[in-house]
Amino acid sequence: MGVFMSAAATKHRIGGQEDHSASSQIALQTAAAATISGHLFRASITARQMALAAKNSRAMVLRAGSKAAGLKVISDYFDDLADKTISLSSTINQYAVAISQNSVRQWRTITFINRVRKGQDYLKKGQATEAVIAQLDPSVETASAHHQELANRLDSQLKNLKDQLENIHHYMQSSNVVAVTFRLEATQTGEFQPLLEHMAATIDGLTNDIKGHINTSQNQLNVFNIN
Amino acid sequence: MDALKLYDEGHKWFVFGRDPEKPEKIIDTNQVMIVDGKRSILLDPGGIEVFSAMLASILKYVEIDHVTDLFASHQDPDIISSLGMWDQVLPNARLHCSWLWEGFVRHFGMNNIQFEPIPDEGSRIRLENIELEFIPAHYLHSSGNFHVYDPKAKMLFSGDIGAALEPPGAPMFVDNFDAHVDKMRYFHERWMPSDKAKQQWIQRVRKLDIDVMIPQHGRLFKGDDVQRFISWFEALPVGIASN
Repeated sequence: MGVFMSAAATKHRIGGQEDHSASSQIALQTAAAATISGHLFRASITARQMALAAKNSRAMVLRAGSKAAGLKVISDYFDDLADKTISLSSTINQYAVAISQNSVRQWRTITFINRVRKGQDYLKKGQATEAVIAQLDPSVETASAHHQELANRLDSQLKNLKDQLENIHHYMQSSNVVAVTFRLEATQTGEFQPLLEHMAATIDGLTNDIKGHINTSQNQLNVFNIN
Repeated sequence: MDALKLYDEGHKWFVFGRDPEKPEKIIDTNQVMIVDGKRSILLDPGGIEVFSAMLASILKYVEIDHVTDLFASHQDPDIISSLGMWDQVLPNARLHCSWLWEGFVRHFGMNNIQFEPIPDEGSRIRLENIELEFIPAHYLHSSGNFHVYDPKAKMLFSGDIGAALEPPGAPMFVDNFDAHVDKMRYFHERWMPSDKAKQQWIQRVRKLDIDVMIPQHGRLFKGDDVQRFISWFEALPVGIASN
């Protein structure tokens, strides 16, 4: 469902019977980019909650004193991870917004090409001369070149988006692993164990929420059929 | 799309409309082209849905490079939503429109065409040999609104004033004014909000010598029907939705 308007595909897709499907594909593309943007926004909110949870766990670790010495590094790690996640979510969101804007420009360009071609068809049916019809060719060529440029830009934007989503996914996988370690270390903290285990569970839960948003975003990229 | 040559003495007026392939639910519109040597202006060039037909129609009479100007009486989509398309096919053209609407019409897409704001009091432009006047018609219905008067051809393009909602295939000219009134009445009563604005417009256009009045919807008025319309409009209560 939906086909990625790659640079190579674009050349063959403008014109003739594929025009309508090209517009539909761009609509899917725009929707997918907007969906990613929405999920990254929610991921960044969750990352802020994670940052707060990490600060709380650090405070608890300090209270636990020497019994929780091993946990200080871990809670610092979570805090740092949350900040990185917030920053990366914002960067990724900018890519998604740029892709969505690019898609609208692609739609406008394709719409223009389609409608000028339709105008040329009317002229042919009206038996206009070739010279009259050909007057419109330069603007169609300019628009086609612009469309190709937009498609090339989309290639690059999608690659960046894919790479950054993979980065954030790695962060979250690390967070899951570290949360397990946090829980194990918490068993050594005596009366602080239940609270620290609860905090570890909270952070793990928030990590999984973010992973869910990232997974959904990565699935949206599959709609684009990127290699 | 039908084209009718209204005037041909040195410069030319064409009116385009009655597009048989127009989607059923969009309002029918009249588009106008004035050709003066190597400069032409499109008045209310139309919505995006009629762009292809309009483009093909004008090229029967001019070369694309000679379409140098566009005019939008106001900001409505049936008038100018094709702007993003014209912007790509006429990258060196100018768009004349009320200064009020620049930020709004840019939403239709305008990266190449130059916006030429018309001040509230109106202005004039020269094509190659002729001069056109942009006549204020504010609040009839749009708050920034202009008509186009050609003193040489004695033509007035009157935008939504004079508009009538008609079935497809209606004749281009009013041939029975009394019968035509019923097609115009509700449009003017409902769309035109201000009696004060209406009276100001009437004072202004009564000073003009008009042979043909071309509204953006429905039939054209010629000869005595122009004054009949003005008198009828003068007496019509407007702004009915506020009562």
